Amino acid sequence: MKAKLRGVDLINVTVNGKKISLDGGGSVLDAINLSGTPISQLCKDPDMKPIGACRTCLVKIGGVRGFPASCSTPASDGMDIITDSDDVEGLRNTVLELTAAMTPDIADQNSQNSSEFSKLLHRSNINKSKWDVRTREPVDDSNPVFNISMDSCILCGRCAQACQSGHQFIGAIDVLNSGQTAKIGTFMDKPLLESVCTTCGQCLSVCPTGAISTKEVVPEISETITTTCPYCGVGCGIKAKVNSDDNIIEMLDDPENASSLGMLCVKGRFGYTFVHHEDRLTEPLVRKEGVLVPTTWDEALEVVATRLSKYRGDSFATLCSAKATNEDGYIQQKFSRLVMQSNHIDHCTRLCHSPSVEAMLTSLGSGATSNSYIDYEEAGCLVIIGSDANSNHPVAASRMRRAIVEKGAKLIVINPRRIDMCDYADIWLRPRPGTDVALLNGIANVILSEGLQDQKFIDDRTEGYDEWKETVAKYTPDYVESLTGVDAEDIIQAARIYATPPFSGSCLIWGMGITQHTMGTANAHGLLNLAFVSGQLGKPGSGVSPLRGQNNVQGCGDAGCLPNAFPGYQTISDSTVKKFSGAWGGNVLPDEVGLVITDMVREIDNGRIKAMYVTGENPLLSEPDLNHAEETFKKLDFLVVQDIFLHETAEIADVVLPACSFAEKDGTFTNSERRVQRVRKVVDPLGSSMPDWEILCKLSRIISDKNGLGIEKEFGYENTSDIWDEMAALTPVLSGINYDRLDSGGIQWPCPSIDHPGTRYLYEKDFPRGPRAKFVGFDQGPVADEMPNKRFPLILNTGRILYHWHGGTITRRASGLMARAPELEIAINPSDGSKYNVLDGEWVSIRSRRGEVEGRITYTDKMRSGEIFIPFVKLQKHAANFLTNAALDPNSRIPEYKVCAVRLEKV
Amino acid sequence: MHRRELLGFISNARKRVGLQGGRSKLLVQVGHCSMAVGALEVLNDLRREVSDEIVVEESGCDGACFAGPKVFTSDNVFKASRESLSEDLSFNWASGVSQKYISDQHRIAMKDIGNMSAVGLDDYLDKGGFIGLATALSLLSDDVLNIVEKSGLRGRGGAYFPVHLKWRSALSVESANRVMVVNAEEGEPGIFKDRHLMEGAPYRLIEGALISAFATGIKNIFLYVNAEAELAYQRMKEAVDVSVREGFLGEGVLGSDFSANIKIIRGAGGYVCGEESTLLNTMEGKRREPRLRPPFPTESGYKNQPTIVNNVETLCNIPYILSYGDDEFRKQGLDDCPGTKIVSLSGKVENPGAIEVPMGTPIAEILRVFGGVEPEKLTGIAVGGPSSGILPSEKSILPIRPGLIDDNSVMLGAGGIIALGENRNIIDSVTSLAEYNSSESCGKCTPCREGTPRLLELLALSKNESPNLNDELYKLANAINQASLCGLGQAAGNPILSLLHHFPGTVLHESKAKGS
Repeated sequence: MKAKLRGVDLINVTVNGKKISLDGGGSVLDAINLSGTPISQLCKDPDMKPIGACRTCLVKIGGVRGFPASCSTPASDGMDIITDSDDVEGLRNTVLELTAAMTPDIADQNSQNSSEFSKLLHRSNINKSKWDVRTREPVDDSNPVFNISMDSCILCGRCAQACQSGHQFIGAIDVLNSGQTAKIGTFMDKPLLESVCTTCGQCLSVCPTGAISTKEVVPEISETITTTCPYCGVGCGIKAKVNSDDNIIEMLDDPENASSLGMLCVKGRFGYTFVHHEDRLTEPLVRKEGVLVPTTWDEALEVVATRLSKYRGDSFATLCSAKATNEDGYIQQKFSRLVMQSNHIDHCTRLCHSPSVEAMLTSLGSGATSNSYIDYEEAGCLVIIGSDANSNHPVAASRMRRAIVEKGAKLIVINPRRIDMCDYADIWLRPRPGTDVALLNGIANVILSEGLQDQKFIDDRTEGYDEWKETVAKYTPDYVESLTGVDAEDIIQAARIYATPPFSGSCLIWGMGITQHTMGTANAHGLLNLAFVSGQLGKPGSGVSPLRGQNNVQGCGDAGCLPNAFPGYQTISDSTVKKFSGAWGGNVLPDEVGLVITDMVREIDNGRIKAMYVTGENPLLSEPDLNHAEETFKKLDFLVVQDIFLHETAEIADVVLPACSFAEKDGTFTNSERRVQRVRKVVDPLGSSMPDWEILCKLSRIISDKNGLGIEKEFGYENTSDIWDEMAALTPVLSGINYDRLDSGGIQWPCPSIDHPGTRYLYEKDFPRGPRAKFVGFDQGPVADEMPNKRFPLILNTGRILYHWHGGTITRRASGLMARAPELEIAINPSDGSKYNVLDGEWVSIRSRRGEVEGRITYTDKMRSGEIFIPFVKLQKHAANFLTNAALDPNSRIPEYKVCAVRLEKV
Repeated sequence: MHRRELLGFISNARKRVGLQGGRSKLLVQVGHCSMAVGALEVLNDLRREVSDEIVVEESGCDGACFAGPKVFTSDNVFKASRESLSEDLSFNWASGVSQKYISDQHRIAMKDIGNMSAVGLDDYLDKGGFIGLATALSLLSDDVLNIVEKSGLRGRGGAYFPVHLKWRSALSVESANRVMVVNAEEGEPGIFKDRHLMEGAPYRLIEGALISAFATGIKNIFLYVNAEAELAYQRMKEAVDVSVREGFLGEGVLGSDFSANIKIIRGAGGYVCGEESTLLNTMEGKRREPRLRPPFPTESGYKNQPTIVNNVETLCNIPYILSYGDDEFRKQGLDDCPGTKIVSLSGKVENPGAIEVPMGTPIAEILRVFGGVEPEKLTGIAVGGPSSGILPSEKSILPIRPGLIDDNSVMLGAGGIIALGENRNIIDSVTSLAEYNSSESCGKCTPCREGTPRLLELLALSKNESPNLNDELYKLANAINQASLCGLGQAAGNPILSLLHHFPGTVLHESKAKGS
């Protein structure tokens, strides 16, 4: 009802006689705030619904009895609002005095507290309570990042609202007890750290009194700059507060951001401290006599230019960074193609979503997420498969929970682990690892046998239906139960809900659990087939979403950091080579498709690739079978690493170039919902570090000069806006986007023209590959390359945890995150604990055919007996990828990170 | 559907469920009150001792709580032979001890309670039960609404809001589904009328709810019963089961195409749960605290559907209105609030009980005629529970009516009247009411949560002859009333306001003026 009203009609009211116009649907408080009249509003957060608990915004309204709370009273045309009469002011003051009595320390005029509440009390001349002090609850300081102190709490309820329906739908805290014993606390009144709290800090961001505040006090005076979070692919808006020493001192959420809607997770809010970490690279390093030694930019670039000049062509390969900006990526692929004459360009998507991209390119013609987060909120059914969104995409997960809790959407979780999202699931399917193809075929089989398919969609908009139908015919629920271990009845229920959701459409959301298998591409096709057969594509509340792991993994591909395509997925062909050659000064460009990352590694072994330029990637932590990977990379003649920390790969490089972090540069990131958003320089580059694009441009000019290539002017950009404009001009899906437009918020591509608003969901009418999407059927193959045996009896599953990001190069350097997860946790089912004689909390060793790691055992019912989980973050020298298997999916060349055989040993 | 067919359905049912072979009945009045004085023992003993020719059943207590345990029978032959029962069986014949007590009342909602089985459907049908529903189903739902409007019926939960307005408000909101909730939380001290109704006339409540649901096009009715009202819950549960079995509830009510179901929910505990938006929160499993208005429950209530919350007593008046007509209903009570009100009378009276009298009856008359006490002998009269205040005895001439009966701070509310005896200290009485409000505060809004305990602090100071705090007390009590979020907080200052208004000398200590 509210949405219909919003913005429809303007209404006119008076506030203390002053005329104010506001949107119909606004509250009386909105009108008062618009008028500039000061009024207390302690429990009303600007971005959340009214709570109505503090009763300090009471007003008089002409013709209305009593003193309504302005926050929860809708404004109506002609309303006469009075805030300043003696009776209503007296009433508000009496309530404020009662409130002040709850927090005598803040009420004291010598208080150091600088909160919203403190300012209000001083403004209202309430400086000492006339009431006796009541004993309140002690401080809960269990959380390493912030405290909850009931001494300063006025029970306005904003924190609980933010933790629940206001924002995050986590529900760690609420008001406990009743009446005078009311307090903010957790379920069963346990310390915060023992609750489901994820330390996202949303509570802290809305607290008006400082009752919830960080352990370190944030000074008040500072500048605030809006930019985009550098962690996962959700793409949350952040506002960095910077002090006079050019240090980021606090990270705030951005309520204006259309992707995050004012939410942040623990990494986004508290994980920024890596920017100023002492380990940051601040000057170039060159290996001299076997040791990396600091040097000048001139010398370092001279060394790189001289050495690389020898490897122009097929022996050069480069890895781009999905953490860097679109502009950085664009320059890097231009550098590789134009300067180095090599299409051996790839980035980390090969290790995460290449099967999704491969399958989507085949069946749809584009590898991007088809829908938006708003579609999750409008869907009638969400299927989350092979994704622990709570840990890896926390804010998107909050929006999914909003769909489930507030809108009543059905949730189907498919995961061998009992992930936290299972708490919200209507159905949880728990297949044996590696049996997803059979399960997805089984769901399709039910849809067909029960006649739930969208025949019109199939007839009008797909091809390959009949062949595919034959493939899935044998996957009856009973047969699939025998293959996957999932109850046939559950498969039937899931199929019915997905194909015919209670309202709106259905969304398929997946992550690495689908892709990081030898059957990864087959899995992704299985999902796409489900969307096609039930027509859950190309309409609001439906779609297919491979959730992107890195902040700019979408943009990195968009910018052309791929061996087979120029920016905008314009695949290498005579015409595209001609187009880009023309645009880049008429120079020759390589016209053969290059190598993908996993093949680059093989070709290093084979001696074909001799020089590599790695930017913002740490393959010696992210590759499978790390022991072997290190041997391989050491075989390179010349290795340049450009990054912000001296990580495992940088340590073996010949030259290390200091790049600056997201906080020190301008540019754009493109998030998982294809939203291009601005990255803005918040602080000056640390030391002599430079943005990636600037380093690459300098280097390109030197190499050009050295080799007489005459392409210096192709790398003469003034700023990132120039780079964007060049890329957009060459990339039809981006051509309507420019920095001016981005200043008023992100834009979702495709955006083909300057007056185009951007695109919320794809495939409404047709597909990039043509009018029809393509069914591609697969049979269930061998479940995994390596299965348990007597020597290695356990299945190892890897993934991520909330408090660490990928290999941990960044998050290990954020103290708040380290405090919450300092050690490698090895999750096992308690029954395996007794079977292998290890206790909860015991330090153990895990061994595979390839290596060994140590970590601490955690008993959990999230794991099934026989399966263990280790996050692939490296902590205390221990990283799961020493164990994992380099077996590849034949279609996408992704390694099978999700399954390998291990054994557990006492240390 | 034609009324004749509906009535035919009822008379068929009556043949089906009625006693066979001309046996007679003994009704033991088992209510939550009489259970405390041995009613269940009487029931068991009678069942053991009387012959199979006599059926022994439970009825509700007829409201003459002072006289229990009581047994009713219309079988005078049996009654005459009472001597044949064993000697340790101790009870009163209802028709003797409570006859005048009841005949002096005007019973609509409580009609026949105590004289009919509270378990079987037969007696209720014998007394004309479900004829109101049959009448309603023979009309258009809009006609039923108009009849209720013309009756002038107002809600009996304490707010006396016109019933038809609430219903029409819910109907005016566009929605696929609407919900009716019967508020049987009855949580405040000194009120026991809804329990009497549910224990004594469960089928009447079902009939009233069905008529209301028909008038408002509702299919889902929830009955929200106080968690401690175990007997009321058991009786309602049985009556719902029987009604469904006999076709009076569920699919195709009385053979018509109207369907509705009743789901019983147990209360979450606490005074505030009777507040309708809090009640809705607890039904959804949420924290027991009030919601903001707007939206009102009629716009967005249970699971965001338009929701009508009506009190038990309100609904128990509706079968009468449909059976006898709105004119007949209007013959009792006040012009702007016709009908009767059940008063829960307790405290320093001879005959405590549940009494149904016309709206407008003076409090003094209630005390004299039913309570058997002269108002002049009382220190004060607590009317309307902790959300209201205390009247001095000289104000007992005031009639019961909606709103502030003393135009200051005393309301009839749900109809509790507690007589305070001569030796009772008025500040103590006010303090107990204020303590109740403070301890029952849900804690959501600041004025109620923080203000009510401060009132107690000020009262304690006043009692200990410290400076005159009347102004402070008034300011705070008034602020709590004006600023609080829900109806409970908005009335939490009333005991103090009544104290200051009606008993000014009691608190006033003529010592030094307050410093501030």
